Amino acid sequence: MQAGSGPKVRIGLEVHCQLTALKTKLFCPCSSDYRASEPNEKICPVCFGLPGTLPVLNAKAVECATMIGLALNCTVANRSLFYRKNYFYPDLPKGFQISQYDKAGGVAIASSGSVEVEGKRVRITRIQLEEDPGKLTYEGTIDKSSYSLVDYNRAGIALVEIVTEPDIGDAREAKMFLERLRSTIESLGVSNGELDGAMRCDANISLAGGARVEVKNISSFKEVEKALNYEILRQRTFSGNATSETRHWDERRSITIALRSKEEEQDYRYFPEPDLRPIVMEPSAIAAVRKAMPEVADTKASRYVNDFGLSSQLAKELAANKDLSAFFEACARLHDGYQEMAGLMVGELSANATAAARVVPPVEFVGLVRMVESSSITRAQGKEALREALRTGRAVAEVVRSKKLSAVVDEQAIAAVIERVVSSSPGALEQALGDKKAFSYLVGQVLKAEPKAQPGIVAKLLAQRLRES
Amino acid sequence: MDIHQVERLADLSRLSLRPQEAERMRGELSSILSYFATLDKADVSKGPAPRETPHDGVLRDDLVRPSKPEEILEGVPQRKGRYVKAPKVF
Amino acid sequence: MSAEEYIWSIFDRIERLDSKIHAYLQLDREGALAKAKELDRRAKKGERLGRLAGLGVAVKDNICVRSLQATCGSKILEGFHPPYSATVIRRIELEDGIILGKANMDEFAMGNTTQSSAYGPTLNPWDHARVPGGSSGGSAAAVAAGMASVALGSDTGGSVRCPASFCSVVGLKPTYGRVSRYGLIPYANSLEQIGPIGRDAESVSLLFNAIAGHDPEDATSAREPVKSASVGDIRGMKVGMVKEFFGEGIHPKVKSKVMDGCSQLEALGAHIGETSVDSLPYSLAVYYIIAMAEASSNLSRYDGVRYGRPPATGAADWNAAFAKTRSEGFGEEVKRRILMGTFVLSAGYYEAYYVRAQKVRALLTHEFARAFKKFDVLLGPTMPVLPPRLGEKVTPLEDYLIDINTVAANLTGFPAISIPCGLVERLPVGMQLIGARFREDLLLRVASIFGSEVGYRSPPPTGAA
Repeated sequence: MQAGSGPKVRIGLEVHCQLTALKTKLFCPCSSDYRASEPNEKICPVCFGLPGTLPVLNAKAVECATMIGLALNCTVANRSLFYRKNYFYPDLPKGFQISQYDKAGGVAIASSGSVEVEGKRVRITRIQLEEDPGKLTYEGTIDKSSYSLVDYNRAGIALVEIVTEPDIGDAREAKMFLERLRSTIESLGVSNGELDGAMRCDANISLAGGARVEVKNISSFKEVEKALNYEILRQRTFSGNATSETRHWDERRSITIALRSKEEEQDYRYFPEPDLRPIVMEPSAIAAVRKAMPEVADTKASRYVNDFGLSSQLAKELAANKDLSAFFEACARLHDGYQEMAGLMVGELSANATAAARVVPPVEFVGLVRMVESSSITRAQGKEALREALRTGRAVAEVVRSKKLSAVVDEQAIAAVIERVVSSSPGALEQALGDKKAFSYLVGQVLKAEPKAQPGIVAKLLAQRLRES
Repeated sequence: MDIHQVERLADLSRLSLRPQEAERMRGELSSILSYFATLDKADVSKGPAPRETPHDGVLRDDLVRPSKPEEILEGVPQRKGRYVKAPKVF
Repeated sequence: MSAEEYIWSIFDRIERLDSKIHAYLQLDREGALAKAKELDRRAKKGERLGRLAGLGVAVKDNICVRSLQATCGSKILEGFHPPYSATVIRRIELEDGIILGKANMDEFAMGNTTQSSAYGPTLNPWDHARVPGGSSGGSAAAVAAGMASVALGSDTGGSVRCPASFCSVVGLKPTYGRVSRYGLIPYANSLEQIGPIGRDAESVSLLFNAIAGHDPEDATSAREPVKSASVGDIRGMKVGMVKEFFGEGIHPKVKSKVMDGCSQLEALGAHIGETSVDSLPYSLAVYYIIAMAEASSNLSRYDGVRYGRPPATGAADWNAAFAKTRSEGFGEEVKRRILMGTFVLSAGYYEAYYVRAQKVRALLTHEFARAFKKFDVLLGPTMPVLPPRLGEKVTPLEDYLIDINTVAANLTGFPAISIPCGLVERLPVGMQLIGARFREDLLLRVASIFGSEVGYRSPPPTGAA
């Protein structure tokens, strides 16, 4: 699905993100740690919706939402209001959701921001605080069951809803945007996007100014790309304009299905929540949050490019990984081979940098890097040593010793290997003349024959050989 | 107010009205609405902003208070284990 | 007299009178007597007792008392036993007050006669053929008939002051935010307050001071420190008679009785003046729009699934079951207000009704604030009529109209009190005073001084007028 082939696609996203860093729910002091709990264990009269109970706002939630707003370049409101969104559903204990609204006098906590993803600017319409409903399940399958089962553990959990303008042009861009959003939010320390259900997404898609279709029930970011691609294709092949409707992503069958029209008739009868006062964030309070908040991935990446001379690609990858970037900065205090260190750790330690750092602490990592830089081992051998160290828990220097890892730097020996390779593939030499790809291929072939050869030396000698021929 | 509006309101608020009930409501709601129309004469142009908060809101620290779920579950009319049983949504 | 003897005597009186009057929906005889015994034991040991020690309190049935049923006068909450107590109840218990039981009320506090209770009406102790007022009719009747020392009611549009006026007792609606609403099952959140009812200003004052004050469980709770009822006289106090409160709709004998009361205040040293609040004619429409809107949302949670009445059988789908439960569990008036409230919040009407009403409300508040620059308290009759007869056929709108003098205090948040002003045709008349924010102390002072002048008269035991 290439953007630009066919009518212009406009995608807007509505992301719901749980503030998993909070210890309690949004409006009551119940523990927010519900994932490992029995059903209806983390409940109290307030989040269960018992008559006569009142919501009281979690101060930390305001701080978190403000940070997200600032990180997405939004304007944070000095005063924002909570509104009631009225509708009936078994998982909604009060018969309304306490949320925010940005029409009819309503003001959300932050608005008018933007995020740049691979050169494309995606505008953020608004960011609002709201509560999660409970969870509905069934005994067996939904069709066979004659009743539903409700668990209110999740009811009242703090959510931040992030809404974008329809600036996204295709499914891939959407996925990139979501990844950027997740890494930004994680680097702020307000949410762990990996937790089940912590980040959910709905999408709005329209083709060339046609009707807007809302796609709900997308359970993960992986599914977002699939769902959007499907829906774009569906709308393109659909004769006539798509009708403005809400559709539901069926993960099992990988299609979107139209929901029955009842959805459109929803009138939520928004009005200001009378049990809560406006959220007040004076300019000084906003400034204090800005000062105290952790550095966001983009800012960090720019800093890595400026201060350490890292390539922008490497800087981005490093900055997106909170634990790895901490590891990098620790190493950077010990040694100035920044690019080499960054490249090596991004390749080998990304998965779980904290665990890795226990096996290969910065001092030992730097030691290994120095070995590579001085050509006593090749980079490939360095990687091998790291992997072995992580696998066995042994010190990396010890692995190098015991495996007798050492680079072959003897130019005569390498030249001999080059000769062997060149003679076994006639014509390869001619191809390599002037063709970078073929040249690299030849270098690769030499390294395959002699893995311990220092790649820099191979390239030098091979280039020499080419000039001679 | 016409009967369709009353039916729509009943639907929105999950109340089921018998036809005579609905008709009676229609009459009563209409007369109440006429009374509300007296507000049209009020001049709100020069008034102060609504809901001037006389005092700041109360906030809560992010501290856990242990739950007492059994007390709440005791009052649930129909349960399946720890789940609350509810009619299915069609 | 020991606490136990005192509480016994109250229950004795309840036994004799309440089968007729029906002020109570539920009694906690065992709990109350146990508490009384405990108090006597502590007193004997010379321990210090709370400010409400030994007082028997009737609690309106929309205020949660742990383990006692809370029905709000409705069938839909039959069987609901809250696992927690309202903040005001905890405070009363801390001061050694004794909860006697739950008092009857209009269903979900929607009404001014207590006739819409799903459990039957309450009779006015002064005349059993008449209503005690509402929605806190049970609370006021219990106090008036000596079946409680004091009572708690709730006041959304006059629901403490109206029955206080009709039963010749003192009823106070505190400043909005003065008393915690945690544990008050809401009708209209931005308008209501829990209020004390008593036979005299002293007992009301006592109860008020025990329950008032900031509560971290209520986000609308004020932090202002509570002023104790000040001792003193009312010499020089500036009292403003509000012209609109004495308008055409007021029963002429009620009007003249309250004006007599005004003269009595003057004789006691107050300076009487006159003032006008221009937007008052709109207050009733504004009140009902806002109250019904909030109510329609507040009552959405009654689905019979998590507490109270179990869901209706025979309806397999959630929406149908829900509609059936609600239609069977709610009375006529409640349904009417839910429908009207839904209407004024619905798309296309929200701006014209709800938003507009809030703007007029702000205007009204502004006008009252201006009046308080010239006067300490504002005055008028609490109710425009004498207590109506039970079963009198009126249209809903005619019924709403008798709230005409009381709703303004709820809309603006100012405190207001109703004090007994005498009898007309042997029926009680109440005088209403409205004060500046957090000046309940002034209202109670006037009530105290006026009360010693006019005095309280026990109703005839048979209640025959």
